[in-house]
Amino acid sequence: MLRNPLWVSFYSLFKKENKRFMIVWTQTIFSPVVSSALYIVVFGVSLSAVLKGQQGFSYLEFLIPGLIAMSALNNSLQNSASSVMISKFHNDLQDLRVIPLPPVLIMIAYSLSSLLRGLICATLVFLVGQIFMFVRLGSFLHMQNPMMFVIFLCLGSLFFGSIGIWAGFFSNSFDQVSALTQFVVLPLIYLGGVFYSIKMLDPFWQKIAFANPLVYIINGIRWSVLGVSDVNVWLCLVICLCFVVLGFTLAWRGVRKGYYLRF
Amino acid sequence: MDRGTFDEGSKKIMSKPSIEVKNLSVIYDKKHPEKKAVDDFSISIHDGEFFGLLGPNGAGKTSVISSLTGLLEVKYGEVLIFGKPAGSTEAKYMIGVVPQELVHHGFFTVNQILNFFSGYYGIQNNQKRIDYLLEHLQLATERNKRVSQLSGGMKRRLLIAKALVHSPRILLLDEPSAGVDIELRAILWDFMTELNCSGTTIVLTTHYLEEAQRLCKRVAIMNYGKLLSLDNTGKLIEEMVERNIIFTLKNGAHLDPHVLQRPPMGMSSIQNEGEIVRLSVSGKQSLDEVLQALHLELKDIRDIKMLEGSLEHAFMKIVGRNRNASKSAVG
Repeated sequence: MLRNPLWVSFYSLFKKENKRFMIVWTQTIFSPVVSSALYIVVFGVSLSAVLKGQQGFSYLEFLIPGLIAMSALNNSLQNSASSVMISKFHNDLQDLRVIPLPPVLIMIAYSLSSLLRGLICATLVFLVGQIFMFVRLGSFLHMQNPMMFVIFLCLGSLFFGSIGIWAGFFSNSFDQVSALTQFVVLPLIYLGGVFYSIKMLDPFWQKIAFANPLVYIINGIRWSVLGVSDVNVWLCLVICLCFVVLGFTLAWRGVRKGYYLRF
Repeated sequence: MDRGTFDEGSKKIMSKPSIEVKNLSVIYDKKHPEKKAVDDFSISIHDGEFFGLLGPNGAGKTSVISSLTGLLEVKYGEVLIFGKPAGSTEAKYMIGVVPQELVHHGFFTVNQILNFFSGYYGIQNNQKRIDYLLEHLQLATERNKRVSQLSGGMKRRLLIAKALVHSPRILLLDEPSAGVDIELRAILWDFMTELNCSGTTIVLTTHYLEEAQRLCKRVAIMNYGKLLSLDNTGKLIEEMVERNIIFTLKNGAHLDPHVLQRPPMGMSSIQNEGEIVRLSVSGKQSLDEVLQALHLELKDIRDIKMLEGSLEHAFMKIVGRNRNASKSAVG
């Protein structure tokens, strides 16, 4: 039983956000898991004969951690951004200005809900990947470091969730959020090493790739699952923590200074 | 303008201000700071008062309401809610607001939304209060419907229920009866009156001036962001609007022709057609004074009809005068 009114308030917003994505679970959970399953079928199974294995693993094994990361990050971002934008469209975002909940707790409630959706999608993609692993290779993927896996997933999801909050609050239309995801975030995810090792690139492009924050999140997750990474895992952890701090700062500013009115 | 006294005849003792607005200005366009949505606006609303904030479209009423709720950050001036700055957590607990525009809450049912809102104000297990509100606002049968399935009037009533789930000390109603049919409007106002009688301060903005006249003890009229008038509703009407009186004289009685030629002080447009006398008098004059000025006695009169002034007439006069003054200032 929560007694502090502020925590009751915080928990209510968190619960409302979770309920929102669970009501439309076919769009928010099922659909992203199906698209990840399709990636596994096309790249990990059908094209595995022509795609070389990476870093001592079969391409299917190499691909699954990348897809888990992609699913978690993408869905975390989509969750907070679309929730804020739909609230604006429904004209109920202004409620957040009226209720006695400080901006920092609003930001945390939205971030945690994004994290939850990211973790659910990641878990389901992991399970789908295990099924394909067993069918294709006759064995399951053995996770090297489950704790670090959870830590990297959480850090990545929180960073992307907070970026979604920031984008949602400062956008005036669905097009603006869509442009951010289509032209900035998705390219960064695809170029961040989901489908290949950064070491496959020539030195110039490797340097460019290391400026991509997603490289560190994806490599952290891959290291946790397979035990291999293009970058030192502790550097990945430090950089991920820095990005979470940056994301939270942007999201907090979005909640405080963003646009609440209907577009 | 009377800023201090309020409804001396009222049985309630209302001295403590629930809302204090001091020199509030709202500027939306930073490039044109001279264009103010609210301009040096000051009012004090007493605890337990039913207060009307009136003005034509674009007068700045919603900007004032938004400043009270924390929806708009107060940058110029000061707004206090029971002594706490507007927008602070303490102030937010004390306010319930019904916004002008409808809210859709597409994903959730009526009951879910009210439960979430109870939670936002730190209240768990609030179903009893929610049931009470749904019953009073005639939404009980809609509790499990999605908000998107409700009609405009139902959504409006849901907004009122949302604003009241935490039993606020102040209720801000920004045009709450727009789109609500006559019968439900009557139910709504009965409920608001009941709430006010139990001590809730109510601030109402509306374009239905007959409602404001009936409900509000005091009204403030604003235009172009400025406060034009703040007074007891009855006193304002009395001072601003003339009463029309129609006398039917008895056979043999007649009006003194001198009165027709030179109307007495405080009277205008005296017309005499046979036994009918029509005239307009200022609200302050008693019937005795009127008869005396017309050199008539009560025994000369067969029938009297009095058409009292309304808040609408007072409003039109005050706003019209301000509009003319603004035009001549520009010219």
